[in-house]
Amino acid sequence: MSGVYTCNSCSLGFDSSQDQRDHMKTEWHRYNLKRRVAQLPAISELVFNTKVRALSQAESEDDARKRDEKKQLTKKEIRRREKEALLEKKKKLLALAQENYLKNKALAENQAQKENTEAEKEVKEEQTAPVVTEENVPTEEAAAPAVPDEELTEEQLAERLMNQKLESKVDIPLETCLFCTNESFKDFETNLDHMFKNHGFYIPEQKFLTDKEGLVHYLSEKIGLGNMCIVCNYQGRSLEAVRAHMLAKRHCKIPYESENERLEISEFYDFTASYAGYAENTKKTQEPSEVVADDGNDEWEDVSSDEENAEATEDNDEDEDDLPDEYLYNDGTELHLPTGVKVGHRSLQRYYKQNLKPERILTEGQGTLVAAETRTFLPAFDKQKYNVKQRAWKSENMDKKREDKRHAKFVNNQPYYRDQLLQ
Amino acid sequence: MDLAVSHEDSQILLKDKNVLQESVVDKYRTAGQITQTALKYLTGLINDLYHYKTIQRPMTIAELCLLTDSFMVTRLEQFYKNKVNERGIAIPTTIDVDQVSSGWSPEVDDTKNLLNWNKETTSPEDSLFSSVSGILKAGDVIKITLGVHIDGYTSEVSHTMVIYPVAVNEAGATVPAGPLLDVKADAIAATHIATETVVALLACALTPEKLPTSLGNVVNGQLIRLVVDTIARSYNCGVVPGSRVRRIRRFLAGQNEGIVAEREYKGVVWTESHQEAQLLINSDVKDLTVATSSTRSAPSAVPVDDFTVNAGEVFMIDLKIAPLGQVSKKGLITLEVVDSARGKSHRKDELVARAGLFVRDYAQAHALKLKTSRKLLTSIDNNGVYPFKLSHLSPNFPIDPTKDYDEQISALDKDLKSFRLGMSEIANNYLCVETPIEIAKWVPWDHVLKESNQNGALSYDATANLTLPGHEVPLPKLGIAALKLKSLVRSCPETIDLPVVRECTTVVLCDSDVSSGERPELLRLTGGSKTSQPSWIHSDYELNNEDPTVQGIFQLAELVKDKRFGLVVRETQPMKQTVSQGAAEETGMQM
Repeated sequence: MSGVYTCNSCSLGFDSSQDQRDHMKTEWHRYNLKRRVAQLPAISELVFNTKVRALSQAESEDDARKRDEKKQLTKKEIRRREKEALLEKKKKLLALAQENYLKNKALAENQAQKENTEAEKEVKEEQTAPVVTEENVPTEEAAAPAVPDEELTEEQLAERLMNQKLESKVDIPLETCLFCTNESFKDFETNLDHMFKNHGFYIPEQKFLTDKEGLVHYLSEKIGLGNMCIVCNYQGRSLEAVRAHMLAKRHCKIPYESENERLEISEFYDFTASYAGYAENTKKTQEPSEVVADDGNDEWEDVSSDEENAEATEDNDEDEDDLPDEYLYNDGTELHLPTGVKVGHRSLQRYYKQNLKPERILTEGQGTLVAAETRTFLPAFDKQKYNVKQRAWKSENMDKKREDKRHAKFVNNQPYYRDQLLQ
Repeated sequence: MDLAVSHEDSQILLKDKNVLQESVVDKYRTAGQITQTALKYLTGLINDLYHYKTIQRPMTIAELCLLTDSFMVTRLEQFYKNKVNERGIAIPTTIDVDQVSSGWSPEVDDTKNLLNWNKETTSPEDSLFSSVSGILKAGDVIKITLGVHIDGYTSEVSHTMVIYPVAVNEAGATVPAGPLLDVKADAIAATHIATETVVALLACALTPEKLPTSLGNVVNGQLIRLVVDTIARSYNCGVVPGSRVRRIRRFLAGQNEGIVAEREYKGVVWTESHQEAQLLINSDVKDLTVATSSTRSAPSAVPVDDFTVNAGEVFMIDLKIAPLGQVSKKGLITLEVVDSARGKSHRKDELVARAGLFVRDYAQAHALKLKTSRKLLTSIDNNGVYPFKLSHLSPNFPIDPTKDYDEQISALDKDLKSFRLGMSEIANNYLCVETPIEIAKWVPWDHVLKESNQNGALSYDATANLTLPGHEVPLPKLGIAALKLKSLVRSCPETIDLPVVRECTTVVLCDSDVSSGERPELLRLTGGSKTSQPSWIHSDYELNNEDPTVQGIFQLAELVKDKRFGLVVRETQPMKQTVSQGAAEETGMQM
C-alpha cells in the first residue's frame, strides 16, 4: 500500500502511474467502483475472480437464461413473466382436469348401462377418487424431500400446485348458482333460469348444444377448482374472489366470439346438423367477419367513391383465385369489405368530403389553341384582394380623421390672445 | 384564362408537329381525299336532285348538309382508326345560296322555323326564297363548303355550283340549257381564275426562279393581294371581306379566326379597311383610330402582308368574290350578320335565321347551372376544336343509310330540342361562339362619307364579333366602328345584296424531300379539275393583256400546263366509288 499512486475505491497503492492506469482499466476496478457507489466495501481481486468464474460457468450452462439475465429486467417485467408462467401452469392443470373429467364421464356412462343410477353415482365417486389418488401418490413422493421451489422440475411443480388446488376445491353442484354464494334451487333448469335472468348467463347456440349439464359442470369446475373467471380467465386467489370479480365486472356470460373461445366449449356442441348445405356452412364461416364489421361500424365511414369501388372490385377480380370470396382486410387506412366497398376512417373524413375540381387534361387540339392564343384577359375579380383593399381604405380614413382631430387641438381658438413672451 | 401550356409543349405543338414529313403529308392527303369524295358526293346529290331529277323526293338544304356530314364521318371511320386521337369534320357542310356569304347550315328542325320566321318571303322570285325554303331553283349560285381533319391536319374545300335549267341534247343526255350570262358569271370567272393563279403563285414559292419577272422575284403577301385584286377588278368584281389566303397549321386552320388571336398569323386577309384604303387612295385622310393593334394582342397575331411564302407550309386559299355589275357607282362591300334576335322578318330582303355552326372558346371557363348544358359541354369538348353542329353531338348521328331515314330524322329532331336548351346557356356564357351567317351587302360610298363621326378618333366598340386582331374597326381611316357600319347598311335605301362566289382550296408546299417525285411539288389537297370544275358561264369581261400583272398571270397559267419545265401541281383525286357510297345512293333512291 505504498507509493504515490493510489486507487481509493480498491484501496490499493502503485509505484508508477502506468500501473495505476492499467489498474483503472480492469474490470475488477470497475466492479469495485460500482460497489462503492452502492456504498458496499471493496472486494479483493481473488474474490472478484472467483465470482467472475462462477458467473461465466453459469452462463455457459444455460445460454437462453444468460440472454434473459443480460437484459436488465424491470420489476414489472419480472412480475408479468411470473404471472404468465403461473397462467400457463394453470391452463395445463385445467386441461388435465378436463381430461380426467371426460375419462370419468365415459366410464360412468359405461357403468350406467349396466347398473342403476344410485350405483352409478357410487361408482363415479369411487372412480374419481382412485384416479385422483393415483395421481397424487407420485406428487407426494416428489414433494416429500422438501427441496426449495426453484429446484423442482416443472412437472413436479405442476403436480404440487394441482394438489394445492384439489385441496381447496369447492364443488359447485348443478343446482347451485355459479355466481351467487349459497344460492341453491330445486333443479338444474330453475338454476339456469336464475342465472340467465339475474346474471345474464346465456348459453349460445342452444340448438346445437348436446351436453348442457356437461357444459355447466365444466364451467363450475373452472370456477370452483381453477378459481378462474369464465370470461377473461382472471385468476382469483379463491372462489370468493373470483365470484366477486365476475359479479363486479359482469363477467357472467359464456364468451363466444373468438375461435379459441368457441373451441374451448366445442365438445359440448354438435354442429353436424348445420353441415348439410354448403350455403349454411359459408354463412357460418362468414359470421366472424360480420361481427368485426359490426363492431367497427360506428368508427368507419363508407367511402362511396365509384372509382375506388371499381378499383376494389378489380383487385378482387385479380385475387379471386387464391382468396376466399368474403375478403375483408384493413390496409391501415381503409377497411376493404368483401363487397368491394372501401371504408375509410372517420379521422380522414375531411379528406373524403373534399370535392376537388378534377385536373383538366387538354387534348392536343385544345393544347394547340391555347398555345397559339395571344389574347390577354382581364384578371378575375378577387374578393379577398378587394377586402384587403377596403380595409386599407378604411384605416386610411380613420388615420386622417385622427390626424385632423390632433391638429384641431392646436388651433388657436382665442382670436385676440396675445402671447406674453412674444411681446 | 386559367389554361396554360408549357413552353416546351407549345414548341412541339406549334413547330415540331407542323414540320412536313411523310406521315404528315399522308394525313393531309387522306384528309384531302375524303374531302374531295364528300364534295363529289354532294355535287352528285344536287345534280341528281335538280339536273338529272333521278331523286323524286325533294330534299332541303338542311337534309343535304346532314347527309354529307354523315358521309364524311362514315368515310373518316375507315382511315387512321386507333392511330390518331382526333379526326373529324373540320367544317360541317354549308350550302350558301347567292347573297349568303357563309355559314348557312341549318339543322333539320330549322326547316319549319325558317318558314315561320320569314313569312314575307313567299314567292320563288324573292332572292332569299331558296335559303328560306331549302329548295333550290334554276339560276341559283350555291357555294358548298366542307372539310375534314385527321389528327389536326386539315383540308377544306369550297366550290361554287350553278343550278341550270336543263335540256336534253341530241344524244339524249341531260345538259344545261345554256351558259350562265348574269353578273354572277363575272364573279365565277374571276374566282376561278384568281384561285388557279394563287395556286400557281404558291407553287412558284417552291421554285422562285420560275416566277414571271413582271410579278417580282419573291412570293409574298403583297403579290398575292395584287394578283387577286387585279383579277377581281378586271371582271368588274370586288373581293368580299372575309376572303383570305392564309397559312394553316395543325389544328389552326382558320376555324377559330376572330376567337383565338392566333400567334404568328401568316396570310393575306381582305377586310373593309382594304377597300376603304383603295377608295380613299387619292384623298389625304389620316388614320383616325387610336386603338393600336399591339395594345390588345401580340403583334404576330395581326395579319399583315409582310410575309414570304416558304416551302414546307400549308396554305388555304379561300376567296369570295362579288360582282359589281348591278351597281353604277363606287361603294363598299360589307357583310351583315344574320341572327334570330328580331324574331320575325317584316321585309322581303331581310333574313331571320339562327346559326347552325358553333365553335368552342377554350379560353372561357364557367360553371354551368343546367345539367343538360354541362352534359352538352362535355360532349362538345370531346368533339374537338373545330366548328360543330348540334346534330353532330347526337347519338343518332351519322345517319345510317341502311336504316329507316324518317325515323332517324325524327330521333335527331328530338335530341336537338334538349341540345338547344343546353346550348343557350353555353352560348350566353361565351363558352361557345356561333359562327355567323353572313350576307354580302353593298353600300354606296357617298352614303358612308356623309355619315358624321361624332366619336372622332375614339370610334371603337366591341359589338363586332369574330374580327381579326388589328382589324376591329372596319373603316379605320373614317373612324367608323362596326356598330355604326351596321346601322349605316340598314339605314341606306340604296343598299343591295350582292351574290357571292366562293372557291376554297388547300395546298401543301412539298419540298423535294417529301414530294412524290424528284422535284419540289405543290400538293393540291382539294379542288382542281376533277371535283371543282368551273360552271358553264359566259362573262363579258376579260383580262387586259397589256397590264404587266396580267401578263404574269398568263405566264403562270402556261407554267402550270407545262409538264416538263413548268410548275409541278399534283391534285388529290376523290376516292373510287365503293360500297358505302353505293349504299348512300341507294338511300337516295329510297327517299
